[in-house]
Amino acid sequence: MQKGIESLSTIDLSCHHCGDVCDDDGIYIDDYIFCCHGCQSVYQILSDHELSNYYQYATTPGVSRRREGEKTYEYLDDSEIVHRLTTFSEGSLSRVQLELPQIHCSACIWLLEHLHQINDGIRNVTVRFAKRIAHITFDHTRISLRSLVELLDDIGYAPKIHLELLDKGKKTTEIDKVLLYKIGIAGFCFGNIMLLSFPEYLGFKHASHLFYLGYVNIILSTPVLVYAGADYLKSAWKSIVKGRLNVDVPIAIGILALYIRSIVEIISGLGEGYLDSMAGLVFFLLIGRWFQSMTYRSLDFNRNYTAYFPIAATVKCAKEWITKPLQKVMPGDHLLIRNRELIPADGILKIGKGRMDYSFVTGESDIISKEVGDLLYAGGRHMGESIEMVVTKKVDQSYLTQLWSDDIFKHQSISDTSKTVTTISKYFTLVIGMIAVVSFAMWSHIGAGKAIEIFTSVLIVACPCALALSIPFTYGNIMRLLANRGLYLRNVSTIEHLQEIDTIIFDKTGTLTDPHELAIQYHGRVLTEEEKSLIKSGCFHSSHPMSKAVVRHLASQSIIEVDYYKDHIGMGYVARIGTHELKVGSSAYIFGTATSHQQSGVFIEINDEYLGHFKCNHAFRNGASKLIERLGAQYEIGMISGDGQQDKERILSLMPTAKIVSFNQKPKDKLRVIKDLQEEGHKVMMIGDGLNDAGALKQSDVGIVISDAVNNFSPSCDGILAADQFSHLGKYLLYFRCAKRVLYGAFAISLIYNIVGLYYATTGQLSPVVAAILMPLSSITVIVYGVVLSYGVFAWLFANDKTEPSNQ
Amino acid sequence: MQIILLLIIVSLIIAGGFLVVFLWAVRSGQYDDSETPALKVLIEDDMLTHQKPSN
Repeated sequence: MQKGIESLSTIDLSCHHCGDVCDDDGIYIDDYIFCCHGCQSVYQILSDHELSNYYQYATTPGVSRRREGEKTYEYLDDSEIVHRLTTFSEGSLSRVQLELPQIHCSACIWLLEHLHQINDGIRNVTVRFAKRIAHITFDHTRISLRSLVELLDDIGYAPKIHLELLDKGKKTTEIDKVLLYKIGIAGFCFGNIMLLSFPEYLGFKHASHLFYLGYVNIILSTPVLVYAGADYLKSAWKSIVKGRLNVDVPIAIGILALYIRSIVEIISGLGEGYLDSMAGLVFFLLIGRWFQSMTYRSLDFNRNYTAYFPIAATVKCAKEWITKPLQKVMPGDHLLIRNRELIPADGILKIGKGRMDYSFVTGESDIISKEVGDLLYAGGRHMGESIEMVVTKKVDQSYLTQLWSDDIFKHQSISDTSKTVTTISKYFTLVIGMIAVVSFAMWSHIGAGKAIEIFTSVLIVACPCALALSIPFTYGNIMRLLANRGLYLRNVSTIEHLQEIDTIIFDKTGTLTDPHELAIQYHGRVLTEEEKSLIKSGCFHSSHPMSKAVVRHLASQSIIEVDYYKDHIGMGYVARIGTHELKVGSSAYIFGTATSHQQSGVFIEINDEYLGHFKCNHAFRNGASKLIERLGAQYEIGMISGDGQQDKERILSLMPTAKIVSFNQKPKDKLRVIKDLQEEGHKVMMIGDGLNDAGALKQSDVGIVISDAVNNFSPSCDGILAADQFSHLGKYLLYFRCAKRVLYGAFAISLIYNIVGLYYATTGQLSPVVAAILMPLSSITVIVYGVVLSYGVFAWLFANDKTEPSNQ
Repeated sequence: MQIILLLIIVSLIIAGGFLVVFLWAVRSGQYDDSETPALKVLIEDDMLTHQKPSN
């Protein structure tokens, strides 16, 4: 693709690096235009090192550098931090694993894997696209970790270095290789045993004279039992020791019965045994496990605040600024917070004007101003010139972070085993045991040998392989289908929890409301058409988001030319249009700071007469009222918010049937509200978005996080819902309830197979061929049924829904 | 019928070879990431020399 003079001659003024539209101050270099110096310097670095191919693999592959603040990586000089970040170090070579969220196309991969052209201290870069991770091997005698990170930042791939990395740096979450080994070995043995048993399937009775076939089968099946199937035996043993009967118990009994009886038969020359069935059984079970584990490895459902907090802070020490690892920051330390840096611990503002963005904590995107002496809570991002603060609490004891010291975060309650299957298998095992004993007793008059044969046949044929496969395939498929529609669940047992809930609690800001949409309401004297256009014309010149919202609100008015305009940033503006004097701004700007009731909003004064004010609220998300109405018919609904009461009426009109509507809830209070509901016997689903919901999300039976960018941000939860799919939540819940019926169908099928098998077993007709047909057939029926029907229900439910699947 | 024994041994050795290849592939990390190689396949290393922007 040639992009040069030709494209410049047209009106295409998008930045060559990032594709943003360039303003008048675009920079021209080598016939390309760049929107800012950041983008231009990336281009410069790349073309200096013959890496401008980057721009050939994708059009405008870069990420805009315009809004990037200055970042410092001084803390990477600290040897302890460096040591904890490197995953491997030997001789002069070190290896780090860095998360680069900007990776988004093949050009990114190409560039990062050619970094050695910029600095030959970098030996090797391997990119994991799905996880947005780069594994970098470098020579630390030639390039320090700090220079490496700075280089990445310079070319537009600033790594995300957070506190979490210090603990997780050495732990890589690769896929389960052992499971793949097991599948490979079980598959190999299964195929070969079947092949060797083939003469017998075709009825060549003489084949059994080839006695060594049986011994080859024994050799082949032993690794299946002791390696591939070992987990089932271990799990069954553990569950028996604990006095519980999970689904692995009948499976293990079946596997052992198959193996032992086959060996006895082969050695005593009575028959060929059932080793093909045994290997097939283990193979199918392992495939089921693999299918279930094929979820979104790129998403992390276990994050806490350390995933968002920086590694180090800038601390004043004997009149000098030094960087200090965050864990060592103590109360009384004097911190420097630069633009766009996070407040790492609670403290008091000492010097400067704080402008805090707590969106990360509360979902509220409005910036809050702080004055000297004000309390700064950990988790806020400072947007503005550097400030200085004194720490009052340790990092893990701050208002936000102490939430994680609650007991709920200490024990891992999430298990991967299904409750339904465990309950069923308990009765299943008991019933099968009884049938086996009864048939043993009934056949014992013929002879002990025959009775033992019948007894083992029952155990073999009753092995609930199909039952164990129904959940992985049915629910595993549902998870996959919903992931395409923007709902990512942690594991299949989340679906079971979702089917049980009867109460849904929402967070307000950022969950029910859309952080990007402002809804405007006017309070005050009715405005004339002329006044409306005056206000619109004035606000048109202001860059404040509220002014912009007012302009959008008065869309039908025309804009008049403004004769005089003066902006008081953060306060308001004065303007003169013709003979009219306009004064618009905050209540303090209009009435002065002396008045007692300060309200937020856009206050309007024309010709020294106060007219009224526009109130700005975050609008409810698209489709929220319909969703609430729909959910309200089936579930108890509630709302808990950390904000003040000003929105109470709006919430009550949105959810008139609400069970709980409470405001001013601290993170710990939210957790307690959920706990109280659970103690009343409710199964609660919490839907939230910010770190302040983390406790409630964890405590609830199912915690779902609403996220605008699925890969970016989510506290610990059971599921992540893409924000644009919020209105479909009701349908998803309906789908889960239908899924329960689908699953019961799968149970019924597997039980029917078991009953057929039991008929053969108790009447003494279970030949190896019957077993070899019946067992794989039952598994395959259940798999096909589960996958096809869950897809069918999905297609039927979402047939009229033409929403584009959200891309993560 | 002794030939059957030989055939079985040969077939097991060949199949075992494939098993070893599979285990090696898993071990060497070929199944770790199935997305990145799919994107890299279209990238050629000598593209730069051919397509320098026209000045």
